[in-house]
Amino acid sequence: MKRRVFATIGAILAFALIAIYGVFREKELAIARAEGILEQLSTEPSSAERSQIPANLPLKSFELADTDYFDRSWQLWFDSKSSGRILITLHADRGIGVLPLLNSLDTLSLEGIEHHP
Amino acid sequence: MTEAERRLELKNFAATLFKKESNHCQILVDIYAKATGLARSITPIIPMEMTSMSGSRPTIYKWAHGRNVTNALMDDLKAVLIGSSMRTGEGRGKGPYFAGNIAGADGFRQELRDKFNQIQHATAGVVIGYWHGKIGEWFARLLEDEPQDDLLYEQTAPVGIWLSDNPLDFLKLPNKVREAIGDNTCLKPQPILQWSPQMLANPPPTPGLWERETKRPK
Repeated sequence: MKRRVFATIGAILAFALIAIYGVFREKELAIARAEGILEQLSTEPSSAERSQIPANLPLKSFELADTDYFDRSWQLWFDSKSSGRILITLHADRGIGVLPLLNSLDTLSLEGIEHHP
Repeated sequence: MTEAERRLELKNFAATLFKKESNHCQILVDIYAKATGLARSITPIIPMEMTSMSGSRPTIYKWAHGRNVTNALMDDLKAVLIGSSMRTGEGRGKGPYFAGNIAGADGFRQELRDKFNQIQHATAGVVIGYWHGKIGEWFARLLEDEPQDDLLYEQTAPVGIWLSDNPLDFLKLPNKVREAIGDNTCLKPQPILQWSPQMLANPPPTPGLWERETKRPK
């Protein structure tokens, strides 16, 4: 009986640790993905995403300032002293639980990009 | 009023405030007050007289039809200030009722301010506290790097945990949030939206059957 209780507690703890690790790993991926998107925008001025922010914005001057996670979405705020803020929203396709471990740069899809002066 | 009508009205109210009001805490408090005003029209509040062991007869208040209107309120605030649920395939910053992202934290206490969307963040704290309790708060704070956001969760998640299906708690929510995050420039909600005993004594007519509330917009 005691062994079964310990096994259950151990399984729950292991699951929780894997889930936490998965989300932290996904956070790193989200940051890399968002930085990649900004880099891509600065080299491809005619892309569809680039048209959502002012054409003359110096994208090189933006630095990551805040990363938020809620409901399987990441919001990354990039800040520039002179050019305002850019918000990039990414959707993590693989969801919660242990599934964040299955996400990769490709499964973090771009949901939106906004410029806030 | 259906769920869709209620959320659309709240979205329009929020979008108007985003344009005309510069105090972000005030925007948040007034949206919460409007949301409670709209959600309480789902079903009337009914007073019930209880008999206690000591023989006194205190009055308690319940939602009619056994409804939990607080659940509807939380979903309304989430749809308008955060975005649709991922379950609907849309998600954060998306959906027919999302009022938009607004950056800034004027009117928030100094230690809670940053240049990003603190209105959304504060609402996320309340929603996480309400649905997921202390474990949700703990997990959200574990992921936070920014001290302001961590403190904001520390202040707002307990408000969500405190919130119950008790109509009196429900009506106190806007002011409770204001007390948790606001500085002295963030004022109580407009008098018409505040809780008062008169409001309880004169509940508005119920515009729709509560069953309509459970329908999701297509």
